[in-house]
Amino acid sequence: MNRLLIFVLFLLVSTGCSQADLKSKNEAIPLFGSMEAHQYDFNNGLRLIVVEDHSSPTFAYQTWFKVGSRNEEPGKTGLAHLFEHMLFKRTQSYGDGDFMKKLEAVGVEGLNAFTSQDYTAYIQKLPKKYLELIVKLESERMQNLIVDQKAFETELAVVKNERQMRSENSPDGRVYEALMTTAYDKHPYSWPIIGFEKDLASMKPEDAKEFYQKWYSPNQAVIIVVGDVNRRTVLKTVDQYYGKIKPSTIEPLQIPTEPPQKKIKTKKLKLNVAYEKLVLAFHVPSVNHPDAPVLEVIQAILSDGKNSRLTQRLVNTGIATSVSTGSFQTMDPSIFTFFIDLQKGRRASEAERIVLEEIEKLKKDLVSNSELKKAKNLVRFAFFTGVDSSYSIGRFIGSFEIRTGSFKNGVKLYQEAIPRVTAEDIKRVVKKYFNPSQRTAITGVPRS
Amino acid sequence: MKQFKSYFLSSAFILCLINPVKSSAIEVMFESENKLPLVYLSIALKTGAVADPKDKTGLSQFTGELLLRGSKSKTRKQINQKLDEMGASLGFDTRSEMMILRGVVLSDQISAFLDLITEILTQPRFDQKEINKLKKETLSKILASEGDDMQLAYLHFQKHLFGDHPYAKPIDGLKNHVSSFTKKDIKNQYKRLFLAEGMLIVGSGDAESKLIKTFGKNLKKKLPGKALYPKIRAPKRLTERKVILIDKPNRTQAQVMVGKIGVKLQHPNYFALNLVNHTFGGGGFTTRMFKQIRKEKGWSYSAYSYFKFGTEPRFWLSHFFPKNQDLEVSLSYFLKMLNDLEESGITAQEYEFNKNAIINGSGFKYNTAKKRNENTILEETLHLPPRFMRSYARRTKKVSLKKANHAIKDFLGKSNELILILGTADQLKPQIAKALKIKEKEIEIFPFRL
Repeated sequence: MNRLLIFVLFLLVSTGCSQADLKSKNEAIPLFGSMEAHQYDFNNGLRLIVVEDHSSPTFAYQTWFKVGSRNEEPGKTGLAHLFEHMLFKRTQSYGDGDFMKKLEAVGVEGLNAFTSQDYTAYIQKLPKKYLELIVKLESERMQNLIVDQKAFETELAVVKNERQMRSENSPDGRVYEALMTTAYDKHPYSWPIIGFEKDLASMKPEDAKEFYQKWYSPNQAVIIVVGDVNRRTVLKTVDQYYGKIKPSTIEPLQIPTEPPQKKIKTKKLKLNVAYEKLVLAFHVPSVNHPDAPVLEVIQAILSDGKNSRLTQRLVNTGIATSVSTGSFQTMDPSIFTFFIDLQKGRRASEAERIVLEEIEKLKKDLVSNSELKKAKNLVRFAFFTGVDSSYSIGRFIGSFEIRTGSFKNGVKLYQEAIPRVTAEDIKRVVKKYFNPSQRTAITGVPRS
Repeated sequence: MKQFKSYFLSSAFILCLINPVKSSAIEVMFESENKLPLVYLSIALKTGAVADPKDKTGLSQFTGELLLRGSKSKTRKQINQKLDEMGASLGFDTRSEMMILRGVVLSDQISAFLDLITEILTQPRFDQKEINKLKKETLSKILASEGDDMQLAYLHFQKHLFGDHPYAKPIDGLKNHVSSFTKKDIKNQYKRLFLAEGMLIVGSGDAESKLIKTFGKNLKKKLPGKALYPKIRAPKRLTERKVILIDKPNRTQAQVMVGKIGVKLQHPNYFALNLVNHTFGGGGFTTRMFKQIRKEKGWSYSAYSYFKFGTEPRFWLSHFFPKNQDLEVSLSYFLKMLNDLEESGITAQEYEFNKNAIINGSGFKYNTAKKRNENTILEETLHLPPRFMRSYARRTKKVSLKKANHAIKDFLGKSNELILILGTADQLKPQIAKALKIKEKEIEIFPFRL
């Protein structure tokens, strides 16, 4: 009995007193359902968030960097995304392709990366015993990537091909690009994440090297581990491989503020489609603004579920095949969009009139209690279905960490702020941001 | 037992054993877990678009969708209102050989949700107004797919590979067929499809298994039992190479699809072929296709190959999408890769690497309740042995290099592939002829409209 007690005490001491170079103490933070997160801030600026979930013998490992297309300069658009591709190339310790080879050999799932306006994330899932492998590999490419001419040129060709797929040959891609370039005049959100073709054509390996040195460092990163792991083991392993990496010096970004939109902006595109498309957009605040939860509920009222106001008026009446709305929830002031695909023979102008009518109704009349309750229920439903895997939990945490500074803001948004939204809030917010004379309207029409 | 244990250690996964709750005819399998306040439920029919009558392509998908648009006591609006109030979603996912009603609900609403599903499945309304609306929506959806080059190329690929076989049918249907659907057609199709014997209920989440079992029993009582789903014949292989160009104007990029009739999952060579496919284009970032077409040459953002399965052989397909100017060089390069694969097979090094990758990653095929549910549906509808989807590691271990290379030689060596390219014909036709060393007139050109 005594020997058992001594053993248990030894275990507690050996795992509880981590030698990690931490700036703050670990705390358990309630997440959602029965889950909780543990956050560790290292002295070099790296943040580690661990969510233990032992329901499957696997874990998701995600590295989020605080850099996206908003951090690019005019003339060098697409660099953040191109760099996402480059991070799979050779490093000082590993040859070209070794990163992927080592992970695929042990059965990795969902090895991928993505870039947004505000962040770049590198993701994968692994069987539980390969924690050290992924920590070692990810820490290596954070500090020792080699950008060579040949790899850069090949990857640039791949990105140009990706641009053809996503933008030039995709009707939705062309509409999206037109929306952003039209809705924003000054802010970097105006340029496509994948970059303008002319900027990609003039990009050099030196641009990529400079970008890497500036943005890929521990103080620009958040590591998220969700799954069948022991948080103390994760902390120890991450400390071992990342603890000594030096932070970079980042000068404050001078991102131009988007001036208020004072007039209607429109653009008409001829597309290879058989029916019309319409996108409307209004400028709204960032995801961290107190009005953000109200915009979430407005989205639910307008287009979520099967019986929303716009679904009833546009889809159920046979005018449109689909309608979706919502804020882009970006770090800087955002846009709230209405994406509508018309049925064949119906006009975008008809859908636009209906959307504007529904906006006016929200300004004029208070939403009933039952409709408000239903909308909040839909938001709750969408939230839970959006965090039902280790990957999506990591994605939720990562996106709120980067865009708002802490994932706790995301938890508060869905668990505290949205339940408090009132009918008066909805009326006030619609009046404040949804001014028809300050809208952007992109119409896609059949080429022939 | 010994074999079971070693499998489990080698794949680095702990099997989460489920105790399926079964009721006769309608099988019910449910895994309780209370991590989140959600319940996922899938009600699967063991047939799908292949059950569409002649000249009524799309009728199965249409019938399923129509059930969500009105029951005896509720209009479409009332059903939707109820779903929104509960915090739930419900939708039909129709495939060639299965139809799945997929639902998710906040767990405190599960009883009301089950009642609604029972009503929707057993008391359809078949409202003429809704039929007319759904026809318009479906026609718009078909038109929308013409705007998506990848999807469009895929639909044309199926059509030209399978000819008059049911696997050629697009799930959403053909425009002239959909326009001709009558209320009588839909009622008859409902009677043919929605039968207790052909139904499987699987789910997971924050609910008691007992509740779902009772739901299954009640549903069974309200539906006729005998399932007489059509048995389909095996598709005929092409007798020679076929080269098809789908002409779509103003494209800067070409969709290249090269493939042939595949094998069934139960085929004795399937695990050997799966290993070769994993090496060639199915395994991710280390495959030959990815390394050579994307990483070394930079011709295409993505380059991959895969098998698609059915109760009869479906297809094996390779896909990449170069810019117009790169078509000739990339296509001839790819065909050489294919020829090399047939002649020389995979190397011993590739064999070891990919075999281990499949074995180590096989646990990801069943590591969550949702995946286990999908596996059950697949095993039931494709008549696979129980727990087939858990057998990848064990079966892959038995594949030798010799067997793998023999299997691929046998599979590829009959010059019966379909080469389908979608893009702007006047720019691509001469390049295709050069790449394939054929005359331009040997290329069959079809318009892109479905």
